[in-house]
Amino acid sequence: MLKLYNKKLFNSFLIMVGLSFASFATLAQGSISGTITDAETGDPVPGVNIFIPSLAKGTLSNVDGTYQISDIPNGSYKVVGSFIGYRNMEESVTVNNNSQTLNFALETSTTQLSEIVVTGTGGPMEKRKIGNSVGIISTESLSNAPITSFSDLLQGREPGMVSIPGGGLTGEGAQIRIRGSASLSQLNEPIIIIDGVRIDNGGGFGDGGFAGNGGGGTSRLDDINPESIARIEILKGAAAATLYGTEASNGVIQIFTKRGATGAPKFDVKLAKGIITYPKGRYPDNVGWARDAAQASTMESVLGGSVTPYQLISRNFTEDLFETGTNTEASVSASGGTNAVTYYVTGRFYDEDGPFGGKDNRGYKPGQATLAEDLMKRVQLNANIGIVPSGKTKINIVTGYNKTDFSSLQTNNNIYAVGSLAQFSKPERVAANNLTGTVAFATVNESMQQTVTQDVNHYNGSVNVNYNPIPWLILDAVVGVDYSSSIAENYRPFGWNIDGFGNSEPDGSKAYTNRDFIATSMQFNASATNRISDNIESDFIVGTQLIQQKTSIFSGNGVAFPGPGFAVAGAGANKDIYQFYSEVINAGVYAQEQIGINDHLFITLGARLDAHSAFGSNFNAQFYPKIAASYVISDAPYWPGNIGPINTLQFKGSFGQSGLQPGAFDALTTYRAIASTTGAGISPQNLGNPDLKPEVSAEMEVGASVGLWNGKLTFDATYWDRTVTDALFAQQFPLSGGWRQAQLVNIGELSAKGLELGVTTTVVNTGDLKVDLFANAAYLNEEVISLGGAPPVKVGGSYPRYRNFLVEGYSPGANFGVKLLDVADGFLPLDYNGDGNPDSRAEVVSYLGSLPVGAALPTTTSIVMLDNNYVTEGEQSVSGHFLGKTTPDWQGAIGGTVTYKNWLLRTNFEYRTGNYYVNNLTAAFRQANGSIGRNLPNSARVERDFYTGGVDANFNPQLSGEVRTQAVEEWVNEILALSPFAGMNAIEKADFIRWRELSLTYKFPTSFTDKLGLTSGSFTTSAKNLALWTPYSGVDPEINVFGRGGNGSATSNTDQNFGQGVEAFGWAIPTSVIFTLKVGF
Amino acid sequence: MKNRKIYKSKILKVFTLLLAFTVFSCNDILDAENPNSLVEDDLSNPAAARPMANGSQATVTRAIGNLLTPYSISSDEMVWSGSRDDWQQLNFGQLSDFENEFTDAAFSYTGEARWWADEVITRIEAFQADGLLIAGDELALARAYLYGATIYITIADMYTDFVFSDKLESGPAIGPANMNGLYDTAIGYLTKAVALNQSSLTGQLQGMLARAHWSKEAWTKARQRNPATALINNAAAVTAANAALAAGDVDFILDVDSSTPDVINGLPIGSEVNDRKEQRLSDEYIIVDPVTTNSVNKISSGDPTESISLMDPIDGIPDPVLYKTVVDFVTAQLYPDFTQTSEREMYLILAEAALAAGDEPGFATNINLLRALNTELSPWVDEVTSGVSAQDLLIHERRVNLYLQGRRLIDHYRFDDPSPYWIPSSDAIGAVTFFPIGISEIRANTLID
Repeated sequence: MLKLYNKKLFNSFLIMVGLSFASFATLAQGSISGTITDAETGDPVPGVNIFIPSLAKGTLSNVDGTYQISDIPNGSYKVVGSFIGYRNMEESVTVNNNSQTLNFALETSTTQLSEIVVTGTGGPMEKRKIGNSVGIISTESLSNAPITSFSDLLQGREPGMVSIPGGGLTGEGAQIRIRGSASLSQLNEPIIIIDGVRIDNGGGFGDGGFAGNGGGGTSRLDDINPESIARIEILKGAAAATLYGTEASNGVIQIFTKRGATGAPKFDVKLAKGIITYPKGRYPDNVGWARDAAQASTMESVLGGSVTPYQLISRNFTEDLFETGTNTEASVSASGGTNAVTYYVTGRFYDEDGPFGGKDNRGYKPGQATLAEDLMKRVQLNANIGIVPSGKTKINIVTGYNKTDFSSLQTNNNIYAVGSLAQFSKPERVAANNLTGTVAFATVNESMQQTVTQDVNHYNGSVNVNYNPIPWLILDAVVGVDYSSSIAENYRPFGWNIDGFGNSEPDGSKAYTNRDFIATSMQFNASATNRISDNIESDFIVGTQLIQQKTSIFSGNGVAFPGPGFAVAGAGANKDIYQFYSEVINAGVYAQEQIGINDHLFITLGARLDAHSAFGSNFNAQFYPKIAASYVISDAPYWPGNIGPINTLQFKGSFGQSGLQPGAFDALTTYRAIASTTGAGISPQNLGNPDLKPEVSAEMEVGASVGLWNGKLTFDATYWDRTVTDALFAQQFPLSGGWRQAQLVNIGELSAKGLELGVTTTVVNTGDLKVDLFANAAYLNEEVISLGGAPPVKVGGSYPRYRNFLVEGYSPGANFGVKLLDVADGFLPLDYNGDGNPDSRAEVVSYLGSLPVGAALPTTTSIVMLDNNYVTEGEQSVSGHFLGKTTPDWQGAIGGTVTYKNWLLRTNFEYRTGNYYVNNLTAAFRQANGSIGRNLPNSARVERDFYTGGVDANFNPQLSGEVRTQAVEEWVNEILALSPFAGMNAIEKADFIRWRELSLTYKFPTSFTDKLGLTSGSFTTSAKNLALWTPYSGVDPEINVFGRGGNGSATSNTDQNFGQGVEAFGWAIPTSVIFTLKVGF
Repeated sequence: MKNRKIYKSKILKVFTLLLAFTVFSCNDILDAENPNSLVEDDLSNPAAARPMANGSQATVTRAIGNLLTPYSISSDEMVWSGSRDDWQQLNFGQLSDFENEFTDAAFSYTGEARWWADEVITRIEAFQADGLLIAGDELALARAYLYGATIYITIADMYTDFVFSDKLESGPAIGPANMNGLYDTAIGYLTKAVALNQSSLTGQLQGMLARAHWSKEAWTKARQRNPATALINNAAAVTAANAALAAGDVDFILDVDSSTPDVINGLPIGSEVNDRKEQRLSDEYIIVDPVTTNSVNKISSGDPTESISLMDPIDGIPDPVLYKTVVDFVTAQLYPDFTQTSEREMYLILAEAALAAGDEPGFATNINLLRALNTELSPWVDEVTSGVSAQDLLIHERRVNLYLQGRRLIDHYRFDDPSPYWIPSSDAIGAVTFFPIGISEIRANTLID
């Protein structure tokens, strides 16, 4: 019955869309040309977008500021000139089989209300007509920024959008979050579109496969050539993304690639060379002490110098692995064309050898060397061809190809990772075959025999046909594919445990994961404009979209080679294979009507109806409505021109819905294959849920844009409020019921609200000097409203050190953990006498003074007393105290640009602040773990003092109860961590300000470029991640343990979504300095 | 006006195409392939009986592999050496923490194995009742009973309390006092299996029956902690043990090898000890290289005197039974086998029963039949001659013959012989403690607070 109803609803919607099609009229031929100049200086302005919105037709001004648009149907048009940093200008012109001249003198402005956007609007539309916010990143304004990847382009550019790097290893990708988390269970990555075609937004090494490096994976988004991008538009949530329907509730990022312009061939060349270094001082020393003379003697022989038992010995085994890395970039583009055909072709080569070294002074025997590397090579090619077969038809063909070769090392919270083993190392455990003193797993030198590689081929291509049969009607169709193929490999050579220490797969192993992804997009739009009366204009759009995404994983490993030299999985004695296929299909139809009243009040109504292959069998289609209004009061006839300093003023508001679908097969009850030694078997896999449907994100936005002092200052503010209902939640049903895998159910509710503020201002603008500043801030407040009666979920499952939970009443991913028992003065939270009550300090001093040399710090809850009084229901539900949330209240960026004559100085800072906490798991291990840790300066000292009762100047044990008591006080209050004290003394405030970018460009004068036959030229020195200010004591508050694509086959969406506040043995974000030469001819 | 009509007509054509495309294609284009898994209907086919029994074998094996790791380190058989401190808590004797990540993780595999074992039995019994069981698949049913019994015995041996749910429906905890009844379920399954007369399984089924009856009584003794009579003389166990020995092929081993990679998912003992080195065989049993903390180097030398610290109490040599077990375990790397019962255990049951009955010759007979399986060992004559009491020898033989089989805690408790790694304030010192229901189950189960 429900099915029937939904089908009827679907059909009715289509009929409604059809009936909404009103009648319209008229027909076309001529051209428009002119020159664009700066109104203040009179200088020509190249690169200005000259656009006829009603025809979706335009061009860019040439180096001398001239432009021409041909094949314009006869009629009257509004022509818009727009360029970053200038106020948009509109002029009206009538074409009647003639050539019209239209010059523009652009005024500088920070207000961009007339900027044209496309994403989420169904067609080109001025921002002032839109009731929701659309973020825009123009690469033109970032031409001298130190950008080496697509992730760099997004970082810190738009309030509400956060780029979250996994770590600072070469090639590590970043997760992208827009307005926090819109899903409790599905990946919170936005969908990515290039010129209308959905692309792979994955990352890592291939879901569920064998290959990986613990979370230092690449992002498929970084396959996008940053040099090919003209503009990026960002829809931040459901209110804006309704027309994208299911899959869009985490936002949409659409990339517009560069197009050719009519004219002679134009070439641009970019050559860059840089150096990369890890910051020193962020990795605390490895400190240890000998327990006896024999151990001291061994330490002397390996570390050198004189060592006395109980003397603290300090080394830094992590910084020993640093080197100065380098990167090289070369790109060439060519563009030009005729009125019939335009082209833009670009090629880019990028090569990076990162700052991880570990090659020198490793004590290797002959024939041994460090095999792990941090290398990244990319070759990227793009071609865009524009064909205008007639005045009514435009065809754009877009292609992009990326080839990536990535070499990396084991990293993050991974016992075979180079960084973790270096940081675990204890000077007292050094030996001839273990030069840093790792305690378990493998030596550092052994860990560097492991290699990780990934080869990626990524292609995207599309054909866009735009047909304008009559002036008021545009038909637009896009068909495209995105295909990525990645082969990742982990390799341990035969005998990789070169020190005879490690015991995992000593005869070597090879694992590989081959991931193929293909997305096919088909979209058809029909849009019509109609002036209903003198005062009322209508823009109507109807369309349909089909997206099919297929993923195929083929993975395997082979362990135990017969001998050295083998490097294929098939040579292993023990083999394992994994294969997985996934297919999801989304089909939708949508319609939108916008009514413009007196060209200053715009009301938009729209909706989308979606069907999806991942919906349960009891659910057919989802309807997503939207409504929006924009009131540009400064364009109203009654606007006096200005009110005080206010020249432009827009109020806007919108409400819309979009969704997110369950996983491909979550609706089905399934059984998996499991082999026994008797034969192939079957076991439970997925409980199934035929009622599964998309979670629905409903978002309300209100905002204002104010332009002051003739556009010298613009202030934008947007408040938004989002509620996700029927939220998909991975409910864990009783494990005793036989099905270990959590089942998705539509039972949750998640709310979020935020405020996005932005200010841009031109402080100085004289002929030679121009100073532009910007600042933005995004406030975010999220709360899990309901889990529908399901139990809380924890990041990392049973692994107790990750403390991020989904708990009702708290921010998603909030930290919960234990706290010490609060005791009265004169008492300690210790129960050495076993009476169940805190011991007095005097009792502790007396007891500890009675212990011989060798006393062990307390590590059980039978001695260390905890506060088990949980106040809120949320705390009770997880048996833990709330210890802070992992997303900051505020994040944003500040920066500016100074232009003086031929010099351009540009900088920006990024910050996160307010109730922002990171689980410093690196330190927790190093400070507290009784086996592999206690090698931080304070924890080594405390353990030594407790062990000895203090030492004298000659390091003789003193057996002082007082010294031991002081040590144990420091131990429980500052150091003791990890299970069963998870969260204690580990979760820290992590506010930070990072100096993200600084660049200085000298633009060669035309007198110089002319002599060389160049049209342009510049030299830039830029730097990235120059400094970090933070109270956080760990390696880097910005990195996280899961990285892009997760840290292994067991990583769940929950881990990736909400494990961002965990730092564990990742590599700090490096500093890079890049020198760039650009020439055009 | 005419033009307007033409355009309208074109628009309608386009729209009609759009409508047709969407409506008539939608159902087909939304069909996505899923070649990865089976669905419910596939299991209704009687041909699924054997794969289901195999699946039960695999899940039970996986559960036991994941349980043996926390169980062994909770006893004196293992010692913590790695990064994950919850192993240390167990090593200290802190067994009752329901948030311990390892007992919690093992619970999920145990719950799966129990439910699937029962489900498979039910499904194959239904095939049998409906006359659909494929000829020869009676063996599959017998195996399903055997695996079901195995997981029930394991749960009763290792948990303080347990809970039985069914898919989405939570079940209540049965209560510590009722755990003893799980042996009855196991005995019921084994009795049904024996009735199927599958000769290839007779020795193993009788052996597991002997173990079930013996364990049921041991369960009571262990909870009394050092009872007046710690020794067990259970008639049913003796009968089954004799029947098993008579039938031969007693050894029931849940084996793991590289062809069964899914069976070593989680944190099984082979991976944690032999690969990750999170824990190692303890100093109570072996000699460890203090520099590498690696037991493998010494063991692979081939000389037990370099690797075995536990001496045979009669011959004063490194225990050869232990040595073989250790070598087999270490060299198996990720794939050590999990012995559920054996000819050796039958002799232990019979010897202990005789000793409990005051039948010293009977004890000598059976213990010496056991010792005779290793030619290096001399027979026990009496306490004076052999230098070790019968009970001490029994305890020793149980230690070495059941090493890493998940039996040690029972002896720690019933003989009041605590692990030297247990700290004075620990759960295990304070009370007889086994594993709790894990926190993940507690959170997910609506009937457990």
